[in-house]
Amino acid sequence: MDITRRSFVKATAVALASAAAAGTMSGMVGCSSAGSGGAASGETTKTVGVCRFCGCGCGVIVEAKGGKIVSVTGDPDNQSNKGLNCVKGYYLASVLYGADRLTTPLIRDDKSTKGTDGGLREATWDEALDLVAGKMRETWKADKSRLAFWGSGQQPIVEGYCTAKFWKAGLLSNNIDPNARLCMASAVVGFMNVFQTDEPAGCYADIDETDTFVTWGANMAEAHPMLYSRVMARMTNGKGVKHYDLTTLWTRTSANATKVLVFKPGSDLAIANAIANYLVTNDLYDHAFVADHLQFKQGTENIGNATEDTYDASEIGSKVDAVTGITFEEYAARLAPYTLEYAEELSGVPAADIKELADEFADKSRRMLSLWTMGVNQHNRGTWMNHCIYNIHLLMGRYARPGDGAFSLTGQPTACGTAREVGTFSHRLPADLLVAQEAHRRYTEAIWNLPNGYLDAIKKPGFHTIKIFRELSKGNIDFLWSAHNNWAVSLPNLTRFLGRGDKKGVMDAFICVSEVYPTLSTQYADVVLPAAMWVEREGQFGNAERRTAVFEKAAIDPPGEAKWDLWMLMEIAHRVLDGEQIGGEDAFDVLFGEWYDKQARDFKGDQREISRSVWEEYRTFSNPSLNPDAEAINKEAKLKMENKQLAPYDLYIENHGLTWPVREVDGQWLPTKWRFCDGKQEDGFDEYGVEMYGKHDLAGGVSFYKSAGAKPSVVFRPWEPPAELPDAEYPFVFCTGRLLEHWHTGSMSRRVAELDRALPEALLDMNPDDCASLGVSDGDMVRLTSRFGTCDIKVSTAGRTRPPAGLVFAPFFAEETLINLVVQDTYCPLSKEPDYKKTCVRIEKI
Amino acid sequence: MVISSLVVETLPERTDAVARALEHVEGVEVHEAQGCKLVVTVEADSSRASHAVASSFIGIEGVTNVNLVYVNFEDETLGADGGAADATMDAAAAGAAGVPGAADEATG
Repeated sequence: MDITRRSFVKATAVALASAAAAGTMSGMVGCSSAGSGGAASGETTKTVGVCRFCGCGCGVIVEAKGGKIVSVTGDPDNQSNKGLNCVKGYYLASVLYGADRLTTPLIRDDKSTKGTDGGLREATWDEALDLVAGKMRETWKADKSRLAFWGSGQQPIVEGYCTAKFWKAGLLSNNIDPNARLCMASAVVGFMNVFQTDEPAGCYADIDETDTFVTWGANMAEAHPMLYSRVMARMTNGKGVKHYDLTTLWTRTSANATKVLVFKPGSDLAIANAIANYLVTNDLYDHAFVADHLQFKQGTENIGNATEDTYDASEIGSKVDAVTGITFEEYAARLAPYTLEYAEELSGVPAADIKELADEFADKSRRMLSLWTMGVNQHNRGTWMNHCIYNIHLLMGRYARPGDGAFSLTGQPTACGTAREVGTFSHRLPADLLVAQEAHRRYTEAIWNLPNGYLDAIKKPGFHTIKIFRELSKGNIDFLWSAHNNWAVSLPNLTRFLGRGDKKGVMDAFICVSEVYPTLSTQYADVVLPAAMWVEREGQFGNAERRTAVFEKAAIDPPGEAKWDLWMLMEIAHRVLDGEQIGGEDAFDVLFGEWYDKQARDFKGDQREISRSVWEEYRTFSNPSLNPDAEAINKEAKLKMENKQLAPYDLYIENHGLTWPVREVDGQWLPTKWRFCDGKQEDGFDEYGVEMYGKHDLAGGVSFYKSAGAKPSVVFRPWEPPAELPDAEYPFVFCTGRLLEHWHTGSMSRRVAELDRALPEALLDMNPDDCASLGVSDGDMVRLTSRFGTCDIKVSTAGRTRPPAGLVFAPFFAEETLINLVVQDTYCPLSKEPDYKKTCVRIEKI
Repeated sequence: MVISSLVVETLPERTDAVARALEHVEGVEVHEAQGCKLVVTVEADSSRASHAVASSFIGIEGVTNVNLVYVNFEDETLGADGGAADATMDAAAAGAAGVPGAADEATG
């Protein structure tokens, strides 16, 4: 860079940061939004992007020149981050350029080489695609219960939508599930049970307006750095803003908290019930809100634990979803045993601290925001704990109001957009629709142009994630396609799936892995398909606050022969569906013919045009007026599908992301920030939703028009113990999670030298007292053994987390340590989401 | 040369002290203060070095937050210097070491 250029770049840098600090950055970034230029072009192009890493969904502007990315700027027009990024942003571009990017299809000829770093040879696309499609078709024709797709909360929306369509309508199979099952499923079931809609009512802007933060099992400082920045900014700038951190171990999120409540694993249920009980018995709850908005229920209890394969079909396992209505008085009576003292006894948190937090909830002069993630969701009672948090907020009328809410954070960039909104789950169809509901199937058939009744073949839900892999391990899955994830590191109880016995299931099954880098999962693949990554292609993410954003293809190309995932899907789909018909017409053409010419083996337009066209079909689900048949079913079955209204595709690029429902008002498409909250649409309130289906002037100025009877459900959920409790043989509780530098299994972030150096290995954080009693010190290797498996790991008392005595913590990113060999695969019986947080272990020095 | 800019947020009473501390870090310039926010640039040889510098800010007493706004790495050959070549080797080596661990488990 010469001196003139350097001065210019530096002046640009200063001006942008100055404007970002002042909140006046918008308009300075100068993004053309004109789509991508040619990769060989020497021109500088700027395109709209979204960060590839976590669930925050921060906008970025990507500048490319000469086929390479040359700068990244926080996007001031993306309201999720308003121009600011976390320091991981230094490496957004670097993740594309790891030296071992997969650039050509790979085939394994000898299955006995699985589980080693050899055995894969280069192949042509034709050979790889023929092999994958041939195996898929063979399995499909023989027994379609033996094929499965495992997707991801990192798979962009358009691909997730087309994959779900191929699987559900093309193959008539529900054996498709995303890795979001491992992170968001408890939140999803919580939302559906309480509100009958899978969405948060609030948005990130609540952080800027609240007076008291409550984090429940959430290490935001490490896992949601941008949002934690907003928390810290509010703590610093607001007057008397407080933060209560409820956690099982001290984390960086605890560092600046007003008060840290360290509870015994699993006792969060008791604490939440004690708070609710305190509010009810002391008559502190919001009577008007309760009267206007709430119904009360209780459900099946003493539900045991979903550790054995037989659980789901067992007598109790099949009843876990059942609930019955109760009166408020009956609810109060159920809460009554949960005194502050009883909660203290179960949790170890002083009763006075729980009372202080309960009084905070009771103080209506302050606004309160609960935030939670995996501590709540990855819980043997994860769905119940989601309930318990909503119960407190609903009793106090603290929901769906600016700064006053309960917000479930997400872990992945498009866990909401692709997994949840598109419905890539084994029991779902797009837009919250369920395979088990007849009207939902009819509605989907109308939009997918399928014969009436065609989807009746998939009315029974398929295998959820853990079921898929358990069946795989038992030799009952012959074909598995996994995309955008790394199951060989991230699944719980890897001992069962990969390590115990002869691994016959995994060795024998045909496994196709779409990936950008080699991972432990590609070591078990029969075919590896090299994928274009992030802004090498166009894509769409939906983040935790209902914000959909498009990342444009930058003026760069994928390396080697790496391809857009949607192209891979089309090429496999037309091979598998060759000769098949739907309603007397060619099956592939019915499903995908509008976008893909199978004779020409190419799309019928560029990536922008295809994405726009797929999006238009997808958004018909939330805009029934675009399809007369769908509109008729929507009216007749009262589906209220326009409640999740999405805007035309290009609006997302022009607006740098929009939060749904997006309403068309006088030719303008206006987003909704506070769902169910009455007020002007222009100000971000849900004016048109309330007008269309709700009521004005109810308590709190909110109207829960999507809930059954317009009343969300407060469901009493008791404390029940963790699946395992420490005993003489396994005296420690083992908690796992993520730390700042590494994104999940590290397949991207470990390619970045500085991130890898900053956190080069997974360490076992231990309490110094436990170390003393075991005679181990920092740097010692120990063997961690649970009822499920074993791994060896290095001890640290100087790590990022500070566990109390009796609890140990390690992050899961490191494949060489592979802590998931030890972790239980017991899951929440309602959501089927595994509990990664409380496996009992013993620790031995080696 | 990689040039980046950041907004460093501070405790209100520590803004000046943080600014003075930042000025002592090589390659760092503080351009202005807006309330308790400091506008800072970092000039370093690579993304890696820039990240290391920016990451160190959180250790300065009174810094509550470090936000990256802009990073220009047009001089950098990504994948070689600021990219991942050596990390990849590390990761690959680590990965290879991990596999026998899993395999041992199978027979153990």
